[in-house]
Amino acid sequence: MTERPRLYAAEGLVLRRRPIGEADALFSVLTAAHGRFVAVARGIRKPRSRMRGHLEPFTYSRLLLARGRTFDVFTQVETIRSFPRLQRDLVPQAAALYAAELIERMIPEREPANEPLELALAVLEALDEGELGALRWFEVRLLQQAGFGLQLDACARCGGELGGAPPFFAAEAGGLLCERCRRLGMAGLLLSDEAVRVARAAERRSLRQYLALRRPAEAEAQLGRALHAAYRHHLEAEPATLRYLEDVLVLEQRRPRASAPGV
Amino acid sequence: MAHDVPRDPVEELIEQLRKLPGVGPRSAQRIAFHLLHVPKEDAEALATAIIEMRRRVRLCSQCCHITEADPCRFCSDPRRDRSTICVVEQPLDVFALERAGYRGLYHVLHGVLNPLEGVGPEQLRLQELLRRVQGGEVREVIMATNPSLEGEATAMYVARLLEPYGVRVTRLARGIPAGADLDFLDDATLTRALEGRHALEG
Repeated sequence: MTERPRLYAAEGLVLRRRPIGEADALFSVLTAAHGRFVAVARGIRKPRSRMRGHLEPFTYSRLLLARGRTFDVFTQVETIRSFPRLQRDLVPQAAALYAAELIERMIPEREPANEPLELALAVLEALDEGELGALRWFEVRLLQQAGFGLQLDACARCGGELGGAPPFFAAEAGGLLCERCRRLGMAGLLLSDEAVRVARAAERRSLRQYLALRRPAEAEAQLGRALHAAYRHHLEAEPATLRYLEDVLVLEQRRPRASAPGV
Repeated sequence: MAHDVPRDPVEELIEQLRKLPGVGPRSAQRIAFHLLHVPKEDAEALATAIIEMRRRVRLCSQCCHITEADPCRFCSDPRRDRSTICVVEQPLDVFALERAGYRGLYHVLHGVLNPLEGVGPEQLRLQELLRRVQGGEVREVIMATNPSLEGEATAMYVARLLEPYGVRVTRLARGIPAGADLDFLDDATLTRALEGRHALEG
């Protein structure tokens, strides 16, 4: 115990900030070596705090931490990379909040998190470029990394062949069911072959390759419903930010086209 | 536990004080015993102040600011600019903007969007704002929520919500605080400050 150095350095992505006490805040960060953890920044809500801007959610920063009793304490922070659009563009930000919540709830604390960190940075980078399609890819990959990868090639329940009927997805089983197993009455939804094709592409291709593929809107939406059911099953609740994201998307669809950004 | 058993009055007070923000069990005890020893009138003045505050203060039916009279003194003041509404997170922000010399109308949201903590649009006083904007008198809505992620999200959400009504939605400028050192600023703040630069009067 006494051998452990008091200070340690890490590079971390800020997932979430929660005010505590008079002027402090707790931050949930995701790092490669130390995994996901919560640490406290003292006095960060005072206007003169030098750490403020470097710990905004979705900022990737170089961190120096001191071990504390309940929470470790940030002593120095410096931005490595920020995603400006996630701070000032409603829809990409709502999508990023949702991605951050999924990571927080699916990735265990203090376990090395090389891959989840890469995944998180990749999805934030794409959202920062306005690529909302990256969300499906992220949802598929995060399930995989958390050990709940979708079973798409054989029956998720009996392991048998799927057969020729339209794909049937059961969140509880974690994937598609064969014709026999789906008669057992598990809740689920029918998917198009296109939706399954998109899911496979998300599993196997890099984000860039995936985004370059043709992905029909209806297939993406279907896959989205299946993935949301899968997350609901694993988290035993609806992610809090999903409703907000859907709200924001509705507002976006109602927008007069003429005032769309960049047009 | 057993609610019907009459509790010792000192214990009861400690229990009530503990519910206050920033007051732990130790502070609650200290305050309770302090109130036991101050002149009786002082303690009663505190009790009366709390009761009166809760009895008389309510939300303005127009701007949702805390007030005794409805509409509040800002909404009923004929000298104020009625074409501008400044939207703030909480009543305290109104006082800050008054000090800064703002003389339009206000709208208090009583919170900010915080989807992670389950605070969505329906928990804020947004319908009231929408009604005022639909009234037609308003030409500009100034979003004066804090420059935090939640404040920014709220500002953007309101801007999007009001888009169909043709009002101008503006945002407080964001940049370098007075007395700061440039080399200590984070990139995001400096970027914003650059974007928001303005011509110097020659």
